[in-house]
Amino acid sequence: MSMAPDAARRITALLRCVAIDHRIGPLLVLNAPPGLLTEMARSLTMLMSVIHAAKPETVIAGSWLSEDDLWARLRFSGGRFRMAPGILIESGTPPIVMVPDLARTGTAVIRAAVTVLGADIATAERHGRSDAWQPRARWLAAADRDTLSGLSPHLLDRFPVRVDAADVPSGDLAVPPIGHLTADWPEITEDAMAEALRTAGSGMRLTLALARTARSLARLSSAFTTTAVHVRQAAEILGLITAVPEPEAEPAEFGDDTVDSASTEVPAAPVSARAPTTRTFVEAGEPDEPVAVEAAAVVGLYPEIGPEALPEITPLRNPWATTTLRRELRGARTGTERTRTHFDLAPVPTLLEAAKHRRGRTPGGPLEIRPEDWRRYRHGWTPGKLLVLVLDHTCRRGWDWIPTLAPYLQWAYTERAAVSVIDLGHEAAADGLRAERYRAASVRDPRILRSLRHTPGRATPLASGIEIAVQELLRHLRRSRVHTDRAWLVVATDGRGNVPLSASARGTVVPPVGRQGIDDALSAAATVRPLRGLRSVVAAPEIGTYATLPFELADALGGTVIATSETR
Amino acid sequence: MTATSVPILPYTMVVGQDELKRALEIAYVAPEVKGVLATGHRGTAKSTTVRAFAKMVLKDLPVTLPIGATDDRILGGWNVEELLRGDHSTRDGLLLQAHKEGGGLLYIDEVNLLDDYLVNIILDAAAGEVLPIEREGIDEQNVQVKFTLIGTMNPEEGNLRPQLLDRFGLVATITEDQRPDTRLQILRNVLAFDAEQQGSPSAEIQAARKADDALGEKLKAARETAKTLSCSDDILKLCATISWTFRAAGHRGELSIANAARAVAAIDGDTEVRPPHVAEVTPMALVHRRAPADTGGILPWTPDDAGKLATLITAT
Repeated sequence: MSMAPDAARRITALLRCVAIDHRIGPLLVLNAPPGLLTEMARSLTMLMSVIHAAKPETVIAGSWLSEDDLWARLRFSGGRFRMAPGILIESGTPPIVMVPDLARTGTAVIRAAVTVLGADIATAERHGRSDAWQPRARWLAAADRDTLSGLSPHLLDRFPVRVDAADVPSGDLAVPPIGHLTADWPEITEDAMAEALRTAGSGMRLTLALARTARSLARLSSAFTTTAVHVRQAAEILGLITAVPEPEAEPAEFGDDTVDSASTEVPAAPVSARAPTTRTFVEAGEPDEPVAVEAAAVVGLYPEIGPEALPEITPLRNPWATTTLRRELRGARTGTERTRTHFDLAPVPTLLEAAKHRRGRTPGGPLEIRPEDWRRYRHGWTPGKLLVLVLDHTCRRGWDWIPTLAPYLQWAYTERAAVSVIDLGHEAAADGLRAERYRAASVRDPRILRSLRHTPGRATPLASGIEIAVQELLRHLRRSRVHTDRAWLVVATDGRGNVPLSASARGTVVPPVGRQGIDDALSAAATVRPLRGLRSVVAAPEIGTYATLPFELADALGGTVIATSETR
Repeated sequence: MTATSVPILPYTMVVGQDELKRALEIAYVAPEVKGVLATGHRGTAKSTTVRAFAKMVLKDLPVTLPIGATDDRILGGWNVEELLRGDHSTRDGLLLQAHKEGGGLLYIDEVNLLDDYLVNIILDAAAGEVLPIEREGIDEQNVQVKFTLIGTMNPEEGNLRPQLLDRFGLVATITEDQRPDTRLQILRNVLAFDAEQQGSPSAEIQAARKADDALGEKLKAARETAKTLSCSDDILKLCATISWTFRAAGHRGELSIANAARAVAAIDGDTEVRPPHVAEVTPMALVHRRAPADTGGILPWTPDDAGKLATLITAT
């Protein structure tokens, strides 16, 4: 089966450009058919083998890799242990890094991508090893178009060069080899730079990728300068504009190094600046404006900038807290202890223990590690459950909230959950415009009972309270090394926040306030929706006026409402 | 490859980034400022600016703490390679390297992605400026570590922990400059730099390197001058009043303003610290100290804030 000609032509053209200039950046292929990425890696290996003295190695950055695999690995060879560089460390010919599915790959890989791609220099400091290198690896990644909007925009920003391979039935690429290249790179003209800026829209990474692709095209065609024509050709290859053949156009003459030599059905723009183009380039959006990227977003190349995008919250943080983490790994490391298994082995303490006995065991010989030397990490006890309680005391006038909140407090008691309480709108607050938070090791903390009985105040900084609750949840569910597999967010409120977030932060209210306090609370609440392991509930008094506000808040949180009419 | 041999765009060719550049220069001239955080959206050349600055003033890249670093490399410990060979020696960690070899600069890219337990180590070391190394059989007390912390982050990935945010004396908020002339100049400079790496020497790059040398010398001289400058009582009172008016948490706000104003006076060649110096540095010194301590958020500096500050400065 052969590839759709247009996609094949654009992919092969990009591979040829990337082979000669790593600065263009990684290639992200959307909806790639099985085998296409492997075929691209094989073709790129062939192209790079001509340019570099040695054949580049292809490494797979899969979901199973840890930070140790990427940066520094313990290896046993020649009868002894040694620390070896991880798969992303570059010391000779830059490797080809394949990411089979960007959406499913592990946090270690996406953190690596964010720090390495596009960087002037990369560094690794792990387990006694220090490495610094100029990243020149060629990254090839695949992703399903529908998954892009859920990925980190920060990560996707590192992948400005994208090709849609949706119509490609299989990955049978025919990449023409790179012929003789002149030593000099063609200088880029002012017109070409202006064209790149006009075409790429606002992002500088895409603009640079476009200009660099154009320059590579010019070099591949042995042009003396990189012109606006090359930029338009590059833009067409990147999917930013479309090339429409003129009815009366003569077939273009292609030399050995034309971009579309793999294509027979849709002639592409000729590459050589010496031969004037016979194609008309039409931007995907409205003419005369730098709308190419926005138009491309519509067709799906950049969905993360669209309004529907809902990326996972802080996806680049190490997911210490996942339900797959074994119980033995929970809690901060508090020391080491002897072990009889390899599980959670502490390598350095193990080696140190062996080193202590070396002279007695093998005088002058190699370091011998015996089972009695094995040490594992000792972990502290930590709660696995969390209750975040937001108490809006201004809604409590005439409402006894204890019966409503009791089930959650009982749950926290029986589960030995950690409790974070956020008080707002009470008379004894140090600052009435801000919510206050304290952490309790358990629900038995006497401060919690005091909180439940505070006298209502006047201002209701609900947005401030929700914002603090969000940070508290992030701290436990995303940032902590502590494993929390279930968290409840319980917000006791009528939803009538009257202090905007900016007023809470600045300590002064600038009228008119209007709905701002409510809208700020809803915006802050919406950020917790993607958090895994969280259940949210809004406990509200049954009131006639503004009765929809608790439901709006629950909708934003992705939770439910419990409305009660218990009176004191 | 060593960090020294990695080519970096000359500092004077970094277009825009005025606030970050000024903050870096201030923190270099007055290390008492303690650190600079650059926060801004993706693709705004934050890291390039920091590295270019370090290359200019240190002739080397800063000691860099990558987000995947292990604690043995941060604190120091046994030389693992030697240990595995059967030999024994210790190796300095990055904190100590920054103090000894890195001109006092410690750079953390994507600082808000740093694991919490690593943040704790840095906070402890930064707080006391002393690093007691008591681990794995190593016992070294009272090791002095003084460093200027430079961090870059993308706020889309979450806020910085408030305790760490507080350690940065200045915060530069980076926004993408969309002016056509600026964007064209960025493109021109980056492509000229590319061309030089590809073997086409550029007169502009050579001129920029000379300009870097001159600016580096100027900042070095300013660093010496700053040691001789002090803030008058009136200036100190102004710093405290500003900090109180903007409800800055703690007392680091006024200290940062005073130290940064001293640096600005030295860079500008003034013989005394004056209210305009204070006015210039206040937004950078206070922008991250006004949000509630629980959130680690950074409130933007608004025209209202600028007006309030101008009133205080005028009243001096």
